[in-house]
Amino acid sequence: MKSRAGQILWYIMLVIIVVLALAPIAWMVSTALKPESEIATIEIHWIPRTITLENFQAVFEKFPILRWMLNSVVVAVLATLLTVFLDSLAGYALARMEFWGRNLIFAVILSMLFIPLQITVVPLFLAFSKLGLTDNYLALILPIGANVTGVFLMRQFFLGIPYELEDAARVDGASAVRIWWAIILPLARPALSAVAIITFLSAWNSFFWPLIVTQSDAARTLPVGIAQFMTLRPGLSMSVQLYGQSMAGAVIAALPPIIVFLLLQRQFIQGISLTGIKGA
Amino acid sequence: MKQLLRYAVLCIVLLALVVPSFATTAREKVTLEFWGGWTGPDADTMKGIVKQWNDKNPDIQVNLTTQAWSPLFDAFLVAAGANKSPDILAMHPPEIPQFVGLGLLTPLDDVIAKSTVIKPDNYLDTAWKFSSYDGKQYGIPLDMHMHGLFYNVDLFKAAGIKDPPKTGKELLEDARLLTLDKNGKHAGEQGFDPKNIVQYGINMYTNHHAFYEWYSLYNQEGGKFLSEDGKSCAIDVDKATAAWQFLQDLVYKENVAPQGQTDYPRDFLSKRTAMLVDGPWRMPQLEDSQAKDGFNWADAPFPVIFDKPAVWGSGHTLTLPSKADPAKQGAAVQFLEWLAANSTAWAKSGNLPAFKAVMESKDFQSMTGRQAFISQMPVEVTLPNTVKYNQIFATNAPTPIMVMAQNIILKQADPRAEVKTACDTINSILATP
Amino acid sequence: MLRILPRPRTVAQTAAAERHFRWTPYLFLLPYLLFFVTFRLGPAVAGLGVSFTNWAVVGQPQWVGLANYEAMFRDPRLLTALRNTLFFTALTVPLLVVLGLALAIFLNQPRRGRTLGRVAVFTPYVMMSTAVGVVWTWLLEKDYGLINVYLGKLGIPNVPWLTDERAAMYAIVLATVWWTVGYGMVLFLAGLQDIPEELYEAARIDGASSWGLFRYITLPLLAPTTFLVILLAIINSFQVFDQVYVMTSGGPGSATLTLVQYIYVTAFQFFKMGYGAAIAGLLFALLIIFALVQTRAYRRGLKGASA
Repeated sequence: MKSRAGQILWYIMLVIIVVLALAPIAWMVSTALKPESEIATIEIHWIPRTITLENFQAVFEKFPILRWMLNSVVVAVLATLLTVFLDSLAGYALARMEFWGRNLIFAVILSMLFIPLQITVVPLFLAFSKLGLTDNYLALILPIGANVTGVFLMRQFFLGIPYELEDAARVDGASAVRIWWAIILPLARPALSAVAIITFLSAWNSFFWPLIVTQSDAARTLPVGIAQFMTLRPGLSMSVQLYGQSMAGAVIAALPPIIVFLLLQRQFIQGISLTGIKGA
Repeated sequence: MKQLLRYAVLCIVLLALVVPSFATTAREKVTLEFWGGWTGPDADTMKGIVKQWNDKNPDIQVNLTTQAWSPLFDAFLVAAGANKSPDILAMHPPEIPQFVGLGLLTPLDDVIAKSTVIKPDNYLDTAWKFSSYDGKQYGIPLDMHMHGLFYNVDLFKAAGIKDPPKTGKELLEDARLLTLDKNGKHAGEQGFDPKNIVQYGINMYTNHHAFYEWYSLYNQEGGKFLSEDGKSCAIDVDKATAAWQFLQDLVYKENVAPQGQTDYPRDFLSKRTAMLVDGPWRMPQLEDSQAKDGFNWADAPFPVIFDKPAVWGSGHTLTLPSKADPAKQGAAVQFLEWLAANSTAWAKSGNLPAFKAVMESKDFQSMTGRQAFISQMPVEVTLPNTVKYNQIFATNAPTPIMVMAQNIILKQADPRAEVKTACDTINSILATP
Repeated sequence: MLRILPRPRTVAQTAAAERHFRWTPYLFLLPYLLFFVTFRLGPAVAGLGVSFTNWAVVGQPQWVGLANYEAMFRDPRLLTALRNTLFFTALTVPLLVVLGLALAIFLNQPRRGRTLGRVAVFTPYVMMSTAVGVVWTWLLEKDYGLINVYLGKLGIPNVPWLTDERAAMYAIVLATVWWTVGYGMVLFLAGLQDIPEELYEAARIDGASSWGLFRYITLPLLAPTTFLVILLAIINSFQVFDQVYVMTSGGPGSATLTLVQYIYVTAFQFFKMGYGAAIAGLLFALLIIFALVQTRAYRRGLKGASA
């Protein structure tokens, strides 16, 4: 297995994989650092002949990028905290407790994955509007609390915990809440990270709902903001294609999630693995 | 590490409580919501204009929201459904009827009666007419734009062509001379190699502008699109086919236009095409290229290929949505009056101002390249008024016009069959309530 | 096995459970359920309910009963959307599963650098759909895009990725697989890491080949993970929207018109929210059927395996 040839082959394969995976991102960054005139040529230069920050400068000057980023951070972080809290409670109940309608409730929750958000957006907006809560953080954060994936992951994880721990605690007279808080949650840290990362990504990258529910830059999040200059449907649009600025916007939007992921990637992979897709 | 995370989270939570998110802290007396679908340099120009107003008018502040047209209208629709609209909404004139059909736009006759600036006489006739529907005025025209012909002066000189083409015959001849293979032979010449073309005479759209180009030609033949009562398709199949055939042949028979083009301005700037059918919005980019790289361009009116001059066009018009706060309407009108008179800056975006005073001003008339477009204003034709506008003419959906245009240009489909299919589809769309 | 239901318990355990869990389950569930019903279930039911009306988002909905559902049968574009969606799913799901598994196996090997590989493959997943769409449109540009330039160096003529009917769907599949294969890979990695090393060693001692190890140990023990990856891939592929919206808008013509793109166009462009909701109802029913069929097949497969 560890033959020399095998080793070299493995590394060659690794390089190919990493290149294929990261090439589009590298190209995106490269384009963002080129002046527009250099982008308009047929020759391929991975390293820009002139490295310039003018695209980023233009974008920061013309648009309240920092405000949008702040909004995105606040929304994503608060939504993640909220979701982790709600889902760890709900997941535990669904995994561990006997009660009437348990399977039905879980099935209904899962079935929401089958409904596209284009249909739910309008009734949701009407509801928020009646409450006068459009164009602010609450409208962006609260709906994320209803996300399904986190509940699924937490339930999967809790299904895999041995009963002995809880039974021992119960014999000692601990209440359900205490068991949950003191024993179960600390064990669940990897799963909680997994839910946190998934929720953060989902909240950060969300476009359609924030588009509908925010109008002012004070509440607008990053994806909606940068869509203003990222020329949707570039092949079909007649607007001036400023690929440099578009790519700069893409880089700005992608950077925070990439950083978060890099910091937490070990917990993330571990967390997914502990959500109990176990063998027999 | 954990401590750090905990502190970070705490900070963010505190920030969220402190940073105002509900409404901006110091709200001026009136804040107008102005939505427009401009992206790119257009958006910058309008933002600059709005800032000018905001600086001078602290008690009426205008909040400009820009987003691509499609998502903009999505948000508008949903907001209107909740009885909340922006105070001013920009759109293109043919889009007015569908919003009127939904009861979303306010007729402007009262506003016009009371205003001293917003009067039909102060605007170009055609522009004013295009923003009216069903006998009422619903939009205040901001600008007009239409197709024109941009061409590369250097390439023209190299091919020995003195003037830009004015007729279909001239267009074909010039395009042939300007289409070169790698051996330097031009199209139509003995030994021309259509498989190795390095330079094309002209561009050919594969998006909705293919339909708009066809629309110009079809109107040059005097063809009608919808019946007078707007209830059925009135396309003359022979004329329609002839118009499509001309465009299709440019690509597949004459080989003077590339197949499957997607980046038309870049192809023009990189000398891949010698001519470019496009609108005045392209000029800032061309002017930039001329200044930076010495790109030598000029423009001319869209050639008259068939019987009489006609060219597809549209424009931007400003409407007052009906579900906005009526108390703010007065302020909105004030802003619009100022905008009309002070829109010379908007002309820099390439669009042609519809307000006569600005249009006729020396500042505007002396801008390079605008003459070719100004001269076409009287012969501009817009898409027909219909409440089913999106279902027939929307450009990001498989509407009959998009299907027809793309099949004919991309797939070399039979124009006659495609026209018939499109007409049938249009009829069934108009038939359903 | 993939736990779909909790493990059975002893009598004593059940008695203990019943003693304490009376109100508590509902208390634990309540916070989430509050959010769920208000922000997910409620709007979903309302949204689907609209399918029995004609509504243009503004104005009052008008009750029309099953008219929208009847109209679906006479709508050729719906058939196209359905066909395109199935085609997309049939291309994407196998690619995601096979590539995800292959990458997981490859990057599960105890060699240095495998973390770099894992991170690289997963990074596209954290990008937002607009960014992915714009980058890929730029990459797939017929005359100036990176991919065609490199293909050109191999002598392949420029592929009209986004303007050719037949190529357009492949372009969307390509962008989608690049964007999401990392997620499947992570799931498979987790599954692989749960397979006890002893099983492999024992088999190797018995003289099993690499292929034998894969076929008789890895694959069967990965069945639960594979089931999950396939299910998720199908659910997501059926609802593909973002990439289509940004890259092709369903075109050229209607070559890449997918169900959710069609729902979006019908509701927001054509102002027919009722009909759009009916199509969503159809999609919902299709997905439930798929999920049930696949779950049943999986359970039956498990029963067969343990027989």
